[in-house]
Amino acid sequence: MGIPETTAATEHEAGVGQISLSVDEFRDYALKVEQEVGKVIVGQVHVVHQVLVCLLAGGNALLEGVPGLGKTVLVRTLADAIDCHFSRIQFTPDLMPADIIGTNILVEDEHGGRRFQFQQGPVFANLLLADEINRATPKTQSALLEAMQEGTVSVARTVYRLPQPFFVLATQNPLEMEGTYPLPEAQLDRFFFKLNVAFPSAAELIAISDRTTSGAEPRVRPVVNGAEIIAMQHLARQTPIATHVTSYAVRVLRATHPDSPEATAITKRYVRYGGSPRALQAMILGAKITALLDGRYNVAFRDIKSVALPALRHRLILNFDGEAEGISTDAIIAAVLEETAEEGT
Amino acid sequence: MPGPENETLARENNRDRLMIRRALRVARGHLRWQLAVRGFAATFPLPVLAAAAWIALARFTLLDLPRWPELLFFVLWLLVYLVWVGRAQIRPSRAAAFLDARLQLDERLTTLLELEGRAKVEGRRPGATRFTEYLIGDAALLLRERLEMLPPPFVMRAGRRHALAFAAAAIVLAGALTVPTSLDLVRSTQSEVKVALEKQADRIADLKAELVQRADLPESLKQGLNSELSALEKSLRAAPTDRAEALAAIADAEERVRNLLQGAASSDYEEITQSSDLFKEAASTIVDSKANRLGEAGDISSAADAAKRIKDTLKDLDNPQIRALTADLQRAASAAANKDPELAQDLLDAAAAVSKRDVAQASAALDSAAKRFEASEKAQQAASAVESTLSRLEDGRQSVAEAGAATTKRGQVGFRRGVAAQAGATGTPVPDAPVDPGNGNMVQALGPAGGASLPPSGGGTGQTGGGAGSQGGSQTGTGGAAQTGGNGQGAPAQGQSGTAGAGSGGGAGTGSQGNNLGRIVGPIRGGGGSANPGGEAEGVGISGGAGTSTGVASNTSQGEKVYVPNQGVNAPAGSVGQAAPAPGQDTISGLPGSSDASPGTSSSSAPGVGMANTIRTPYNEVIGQYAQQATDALEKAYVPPDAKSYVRDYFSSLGK
Repeated sequence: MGIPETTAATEHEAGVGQISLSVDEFRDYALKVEQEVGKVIVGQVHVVHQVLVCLLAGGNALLEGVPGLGKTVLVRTLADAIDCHFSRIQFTPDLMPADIIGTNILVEDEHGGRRFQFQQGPVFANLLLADEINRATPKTQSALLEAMQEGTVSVARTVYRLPQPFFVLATQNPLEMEGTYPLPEAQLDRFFFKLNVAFPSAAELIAISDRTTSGAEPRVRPVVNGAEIIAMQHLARQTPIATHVTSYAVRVLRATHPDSPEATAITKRYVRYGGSPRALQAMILGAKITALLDGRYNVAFRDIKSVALPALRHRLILNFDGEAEGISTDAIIAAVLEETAEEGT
Repeated sequence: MPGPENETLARENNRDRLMIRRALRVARGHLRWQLAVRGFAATFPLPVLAAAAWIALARFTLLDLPRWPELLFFVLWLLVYLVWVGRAQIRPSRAAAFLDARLQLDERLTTLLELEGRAKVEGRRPGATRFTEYLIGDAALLLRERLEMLPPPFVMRAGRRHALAFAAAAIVLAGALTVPTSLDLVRSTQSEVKVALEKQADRIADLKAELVQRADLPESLKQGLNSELSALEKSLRAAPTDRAEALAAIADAEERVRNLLQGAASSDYEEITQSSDLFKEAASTIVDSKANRLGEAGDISSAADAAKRIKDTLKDLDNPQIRALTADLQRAASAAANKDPELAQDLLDAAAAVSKRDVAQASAALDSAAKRFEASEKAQQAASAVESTLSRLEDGRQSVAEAGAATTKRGQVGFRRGVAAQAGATGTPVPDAPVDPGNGNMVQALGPAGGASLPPSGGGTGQTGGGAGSQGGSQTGTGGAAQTGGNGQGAPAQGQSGTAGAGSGGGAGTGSQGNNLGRIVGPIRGGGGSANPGGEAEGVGISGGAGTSTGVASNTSQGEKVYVPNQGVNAPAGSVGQAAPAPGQDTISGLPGSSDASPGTSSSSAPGVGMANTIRTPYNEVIGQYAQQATDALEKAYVPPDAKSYVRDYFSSLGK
C-alpha cells in the first residue's frame, strides 16, 4: 500500500508546524547522520556531506562513479540513518515508466467485483536510488523526472503525491557509454547536485576490506526521522544571506554564460550555454545548509564557492572547442570562481 | 522561559549589541583615516602642480606675478581637503564590510545589519528574529576575540599610482624651481631698476617738499620746479621698470628745469658775491674800529646792514678811515663791474661821496647798492636751487642707469636724447673702456669739449674750466665757464684785473652718446691753460695748460682728433695740447668742431662723442697727475661748495 496522499501532505505540514529546530539541533542531527553513515561508508566524506546537503535542501543528487564505489550502500545507509522508506530501481533499457511510478491493476474485491486499483511503484519512497539512470530510455527517464521535479505522480488522470521527504539519488557509470541514453540537459538541470565519486585511496581500500571482509557488520541506527528532516529543510531555508553574497552568486552564474558581461575568457572560449536559474537556487540553498553545518548563522562567500562545483558542473554545456579539447566543466567553474571578485564593481 | 533567564539573555544581548556598535565605531575611524590618507595621496599633487605652473609662469615669462599664490594653492587645497574629510560619511554597512574582511567574520556583520534594516522596513518575520539573535551573539563573540587584532590605521601603504603621481608632481615642482632661465637676470635687472625708480621718485618727492619750504625762493620758481618735479615723479611711478623711458623723462625734466635758470647760473653771481663780501668787509672794518673806540661791536650779515652801518658812522670817520673806506668801495665796484655795471657805478658813486664826506649822496648810493646786492643774492639763491635740483636729478639719472648693470668702473652718466652738442671746452680722449651698446653703460665719452651731443648740464661730473684768460693790466678777463659737452659744468674762470690773466682750466666733462646710456669712464680731460704762466689757473681744470686749446671734432667713423693733456700744470703758455687721433664711432649728432685760437681764450664746440676703441695714453698713467691738479685747483680756486664735492667724488670714483 502506498502512502495515502492526504497522509503525506499532513505529515509535511506537521513537520513545519509542529517541530521547530534550533540551529544547534540542526547541526547536531546532521552530524549524527554523517557519523552513522560513516560507520559503513569508508572515506567519501565530501560526497556524504554533499549528499546530506542535497537531502536537506530538498533536492536530488546525481552521482557519477565507476561501479563498486559504494553508491548504493551509501543511499541505503543514509536511508537507515534517517529512518525513512528506501527503494531502489535498477535502470535497464527495457524498464518501462510503469515500473517506476506504478500502474493500475485489475483486482477483485471481496464481493467478487473487479476494479482497477493503483499499484504504487518504487518511486513511492522517501529515498529512491535510481541506479544507472542513463541506461533507461528517455521515456522512462522522464517518468522519474516528473516525480523529482513535482513530487507527484500522474497516473490515469490521478495525481498521487509522493511522500516527504522525497530524495532521489541517481547514479551514472562513466565507463559504459555504449547502449546508454545520456540524460538531456533539461533533465540534468533537475538534479540539485552532481557529485563525482572518486576511487578510494589505498588507506581507504584497506579500511574497506577490513570492514567488509571481516565478518563484523556495522549497525546503523536511525538518528533522525522524516519529520525532523523536513524541519531541518525548513530551517535551512530561513538562513539569512546578505544581498552582496547573493550578488556574488549571481555574478558567478552569469560568468558561466559566454554572452554575459561578466563572462570570463575561458567561458567565452569553451562554453556554449551556462547555468540556469536552478543552478543559482542550488548554490544559494546549498550555501545556506553549508553555513549551518559549519556552525554559522549566515551565508559567506566561501559557502557559495564550496557548492558552486556540484551545482554547476552538470549544467554547463560545452561548445565544440570544449568538447574537442576535452575541457572539463570543473576546470571552467574553477576558473570562474578565481576570476570573479567577491565585492561587486 | 523563566523571567530571570529572560533578563539574563536580554543583558547579554545588550552587551553584544554594544560590542558590535563599538566595533563599528572603530571601523569607521579606520575607514576615515584610510579615506584621509588616500585622499591626500590622490589630491596633493594638485596644489603641487598648480604651484609649479605658477612658478613656471613667474620664472619663464616676464609677467610680474606675486609669489604668495604659491602658498595660497596649498592653503586652499588644505581647506577643501579638511572639509571633505570632515564631511565624508562612513556608512555602517561599509564599516561592517571592513570588519568582515579584516577580521574574517564571514559576512556576519553585514548580514546582521541587513537583517535589522529589513526588519525596520518590512517588519519582523518569524525566524528572522531568531537568526538575528544568533548573529548578534556570534558576531559579538568573535569581535571580542579579534577586534584587538585589527591593525592600527596609521599603517598604510600608498598605492603605486598615487606614489607615481606624487613623484611626478614633485619632479615638476623641482624643475620649475631649479631649471635655469635667462629671464632671471632680466628680472633681477628689472627689479633693481624698479627699486631705483621708486627711490628716485621718493627723492623727487622729498625734493619737492624741501623746495616748498624755502621762503627765500620766488614763488614762480617754486611753482615751476614743483610742476616739473611732480610731472617727473608721476612719470617715474607710472612705468616702474622702464629704464629707458625713465631716463628720457629725467633728461627732459632736466632740460625744462635748466630752462628755469634763464641762462643764469649761480656761478654767474660769484663776482657780485665777492663784491658784496668786500662791501660788508669794508663796513665791518669801520664798525670794528669804531667799536674799539666806542666800545660797540656787531656782525655785518647783509649788504643792507653794511650800508646802514656805513651811513651811521660816516660822520665820525677820520681821514684815514675815509680813504680806506673809499678804497674798499672802489674795490667792491671793481669786483662787480663785469657782471653788474650799474652796481659798480653805485659803489663808485658811494666811494666818491664818502671821499667828499657827502652823507646824503653816499646814503643814496649805498642804499641803491644794497638793494642791488640783495636782488643779486636772491637771484643767485634761485639759480643755486635750480642747480641743486639739476644735480640731484643727475644723481638720480646715474643711479637709474647703473641699476642692475654690471659695471667695472663707476662713472658719470649722462643721457640725452639726440641733441646737438653745444660749445664746450676742450676734451681729451678717455681711457678705453668696454662698451656695451645694449645698455650703454660704458660709453667712452668723448671728444673735445667732452660729450657729444649733450649740452652742458649742471652738476655731477667734472667741472670744466674754460673760458678766457684775461690780459694783464686792468683788463678783466672774460673768463667764464665754458660748458663742456656732456654734463660738465664749467666753473668760472676768474680773471683778475691787474694781474696776469687767468687762464682757464680745462675741465673734465662727461658726455655720452645720444640715445645711449652713456657713461663716461675716465676723465675727460680738458685742455686749457692760462694765458699767463704766472697766473693762476682757476677753475676746475684737470690740467692746466696752454692758454689755447682747440678741439677738433669730426663725425668720422675713423676717429676724431682729440687732445692729450699737456704734461703738468705749468705748461708753457701758448702751448697747445697735443692732438691725437682716437678712433671712434659715428656720433649721433654734433657739430663740427671749431677752435678759436685767440690767446687767452679757448672755446670749441664739440662734436658728438666718439667711442674710441683704442687710446694712446691709458688713463691710469695720468690719473694721479690729474687728481693732483684738481686738488690744487680746489685749494686755490674759488669753487662753489657743491662743485667741489663733485670733483672730489669724480676722482675718488675713478680711483676705485
